[in-house]
Amino acid sequence: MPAVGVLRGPAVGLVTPGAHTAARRAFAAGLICLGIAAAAYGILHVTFGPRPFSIQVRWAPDVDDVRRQVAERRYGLSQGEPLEGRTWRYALNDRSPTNVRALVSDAVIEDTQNIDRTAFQVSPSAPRLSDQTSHTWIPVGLRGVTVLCLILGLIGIGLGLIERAAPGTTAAWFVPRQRRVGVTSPDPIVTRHRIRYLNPRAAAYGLASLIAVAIACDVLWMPIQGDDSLSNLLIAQRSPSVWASFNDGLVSQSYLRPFRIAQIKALFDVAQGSDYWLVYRGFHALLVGVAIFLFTRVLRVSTMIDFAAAAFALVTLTGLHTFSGTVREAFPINHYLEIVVFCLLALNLARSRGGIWVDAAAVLTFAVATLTLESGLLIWVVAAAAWAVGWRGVSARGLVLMTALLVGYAYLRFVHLSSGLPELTERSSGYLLSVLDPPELRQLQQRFGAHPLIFYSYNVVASAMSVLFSEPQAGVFETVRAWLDDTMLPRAVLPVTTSVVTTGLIVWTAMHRAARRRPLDDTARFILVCVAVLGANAALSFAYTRDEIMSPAGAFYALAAFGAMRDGLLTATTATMSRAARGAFALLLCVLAVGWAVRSAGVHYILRSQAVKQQADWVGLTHQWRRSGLWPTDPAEQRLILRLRADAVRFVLPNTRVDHPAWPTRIWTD
Amino acid sequence: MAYPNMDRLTRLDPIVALVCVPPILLAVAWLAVLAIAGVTGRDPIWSLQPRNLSEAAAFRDTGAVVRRIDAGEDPNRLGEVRPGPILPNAATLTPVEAAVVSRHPEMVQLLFDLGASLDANAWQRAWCISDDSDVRDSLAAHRPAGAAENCVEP
Repeated sequence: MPAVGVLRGPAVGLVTPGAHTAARRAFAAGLICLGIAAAAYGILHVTFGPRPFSIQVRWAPDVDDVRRQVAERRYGLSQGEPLEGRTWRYALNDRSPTNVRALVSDAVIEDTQNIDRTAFQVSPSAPRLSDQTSHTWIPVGLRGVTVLCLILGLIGIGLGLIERAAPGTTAAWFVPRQRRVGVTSPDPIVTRHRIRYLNPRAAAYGLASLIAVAIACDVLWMPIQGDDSLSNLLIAQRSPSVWASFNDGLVSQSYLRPFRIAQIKALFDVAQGSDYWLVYRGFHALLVGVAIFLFTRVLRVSTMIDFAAAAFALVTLTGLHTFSGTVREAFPINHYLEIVVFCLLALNLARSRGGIWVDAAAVLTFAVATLTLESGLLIWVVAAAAWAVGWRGVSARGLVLMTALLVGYAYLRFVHLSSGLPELTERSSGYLLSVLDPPELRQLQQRFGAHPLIFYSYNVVASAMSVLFSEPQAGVFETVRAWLDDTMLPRAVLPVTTSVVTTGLIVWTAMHRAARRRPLDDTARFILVCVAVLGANAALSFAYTRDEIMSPAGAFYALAAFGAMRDGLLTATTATMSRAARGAFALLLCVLAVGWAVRSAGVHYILRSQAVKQQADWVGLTHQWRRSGLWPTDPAEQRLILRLRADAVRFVLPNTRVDHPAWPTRIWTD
Repeated sequence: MAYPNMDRLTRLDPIVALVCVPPILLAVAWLAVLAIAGVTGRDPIWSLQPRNLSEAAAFRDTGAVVRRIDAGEDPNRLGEVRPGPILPNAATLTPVEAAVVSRHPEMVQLLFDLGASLDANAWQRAWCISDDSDVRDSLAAHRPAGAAENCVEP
């Protein structure tokens, strides 16, 4: 119930509860104003960037129009305006020291003004230009809203804080509204905003379907991947049957992944020599749909708060960078996405009523997943963790069977086939601020000498942090690097900020429950299973770090986020907190949802960029292979390559390569 | 899930609604973008489409380059590149020059693979407007007889 102003005596000189309420409202309004100011400033910054500096450049005498324009583009010089002779005035968009140094050192530029040519910086006295837009009222308006809301917000918060520190100081300034004493209104929480005909579960499935269809359409609007994918397709073409492909996979020296190539062969045969794009991309799109369906199903949405938390979890799932690894590439099947599907299937089975068929399905899922990728071992972790927290749809019997298969897998791999573990230097891996290629990794291996555990530990910790904080990504501290290079953009800040706050929310939920010793409910179970999967998934990434390897942990992180958001919404919508605190908390949750939705929208950008890149790979591939002597002599293989290239070329794709418009590259990275 | 006071949980509180809105808007906007692209053939965000082969090369649109040359366009024909995406002002360039200006060695190589050729003067002009070592490597591999590498420096 909201506080009702009740006059307890003479109004003059007395502080009423209504006045306190008004002060609290001022505090809450102040927070909202600050939120609006932040949003307006964020839009301003993302859309228009910082206002550029004005500099002058005198070009060398022999520089013609085209060379000048090329140099203008190279150094981020825009809004060119000829002054006198060879001197032009420009807006300098890229004022990083690297760019300024290159600019003043270039022979095509004779002299500059408003640039410190020794420190390679723009002079502090350089004038600023207006934003680059034909609608100048937009940035002006956004700046006005930012300043106005900032002032109002600070005033409101100031009043609220003063009232809290010295009760009665500011509350007396507020004139309470006259209300009828003794009249009780019906509980507004119960009577307001009731949705009578909306089924939360149906709404959750509806939203999940929309997101799944959007991603599936984007996946279908891509050619089959070239290069690595092609080598697998050629292997599938050479194989006489699916069974032969499976057997070949069993005797591989490096990996035990027989189902991987068998699946590629099976789909190859389904394509019947013509419909490769439809079959492989269709399968990829289907996997996306199944993953999102299983994710939504395991949430068991039953209330509106559940629905809101599910909506949040869906954008967390799709917005996390580990998810983009499951849709960005496919060789020509994305097996990491398959592992996500298998893990979610295992959790759905664990949450079912159980039975012999459920156990059989769980064992089969484990076997197929493990023989597809090493990450398939996570199915056992999911089933065991779910059983431990009380989801026992997969019974002890099923778990014992899965454990026996796990032991059998270890024997088959390490004893019978002696496949061993991947070498440290087998693949590129991120380390601190850069990606190390195998030759550099060999140097690193020499540096660590007999202590490769240091590198392995880095990979494990980096992989876990990657899910929790979106930093480092693929082992590289991208945000730190951007900060050091003075190239901080929203695309670096947004992922880290949203992930840190969400992880904080999950930790707060877990600690809140632990402190109150509440019995395990679904929220606690989601968090505990997430911790188990995250730890195991990170441990499996010990040899090298890649975002897509952590995609199962990313999916379970989104499940934990669901539980935390549900708890957060329950807290924000009940009267256990003060109104101001509730307002601030609600604002935080809303801003967080916006942040994750923006991240999730980046999947569209990623997939459009990847489509263009994959088309370019196909276009150049045939000529490259011919030049380098890789062009196959088998006419059937030639026909396959030419067919796939023709399929890729026919796509008319949106052009994301020329940064036009530029704002997507400021928000998202591909 | 058993919660106390289930009635509260079935209402749409403004806070709950505010958390729902961004994901719903995202899904609807995403599908709207795809629908517009499907119906009109143009993505509403990245609507830049090349008008000629030079623009296709300048915009690094490899698919459009191959489709246009396969359809019979001359890979050496001059074309106007509109102002904005690559250069501040409009310029009339050959496809190879456009690829050089956009600093895309793979596109330069692709155009040569697809039949583009440069005489000595055109090659020198392309060489001198190039500011990328990889692009210059691609040009150097197709240098015609008599073409000079010297660009007048100050």
